[in-house]
Amino acid sequence: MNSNAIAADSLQPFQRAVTQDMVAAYADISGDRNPIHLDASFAAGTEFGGIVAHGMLLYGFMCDAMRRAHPGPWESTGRMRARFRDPARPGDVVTVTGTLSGAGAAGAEGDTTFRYSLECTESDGRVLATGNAEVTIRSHESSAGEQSMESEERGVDE
Amino acid sequence: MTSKPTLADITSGFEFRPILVDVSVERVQEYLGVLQATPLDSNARLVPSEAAITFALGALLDQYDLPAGTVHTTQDVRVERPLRLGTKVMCTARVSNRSHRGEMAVILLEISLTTHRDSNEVAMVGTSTLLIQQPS
Repeated sequence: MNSNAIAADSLQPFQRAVTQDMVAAYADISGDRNPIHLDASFAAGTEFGGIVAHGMLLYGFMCDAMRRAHPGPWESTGRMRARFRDPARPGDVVTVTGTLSGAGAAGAEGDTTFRYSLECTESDGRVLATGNAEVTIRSHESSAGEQSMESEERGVDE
Repeated sequence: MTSKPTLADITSGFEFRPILVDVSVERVQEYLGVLQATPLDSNARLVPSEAAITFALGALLDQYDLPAGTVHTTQDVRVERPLRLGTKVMCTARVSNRSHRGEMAVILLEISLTTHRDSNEVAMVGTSTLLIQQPS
């Protein structure tokens, strides 16, 4: 295993309050203006009974947990597989947690791939989304390595 | 006024028209701001994959409407090659499978982001699962 690779047993947990303003802003930046996210009267008639946040909002929260832990390597080697289980709604407070689920040698000598299991949960205990993430730490960089270091090694698309 | 076709109309094997996606620093910062996520620091050079895939999905919605009530159930994104902030990438996508679950169509959408230059190297690949209400 790469002696420079550092991975904590758990990711630093954090919370995000989901608001209608946040959902509306996400609709604008993503281009997904499905009325289930924006129109209360429409959403009331759906199986959800009201407005729900985009699943990709939760995806972004989980990716942020990975970026915080592995800035640089996340952008250059990261993978996130997420399942959206129960929608977040405006007013929910989402807690994002993650634990290290495994580590192993990656392709190149000395490189290490770390695997994490992540969850987004609401304060009432509902599991909103789960994720499985991977990130590879190259032998020449630490977990918090500068992006410029890895970019020079791997080549950055311009 | 012409309306866009909807994702409910497309079939397995359908390929979207390739479209350029802008991953500018400003756009990525705005995305991270909406999520209240860790902002880009002054040394940042690379695009977080979550931002790139969000913009790519949005670009596809420029071509096809998402039927009201569509539910996104899974998302997988893998970085193949780091992508520099401020570039444009080519987004290609195809429907790799379409099945049915009750009154809903289950669409598996495969997305690829390639660098927009001669080499056309794949930067990121993703798979989305969407549940779409069938037209009655």
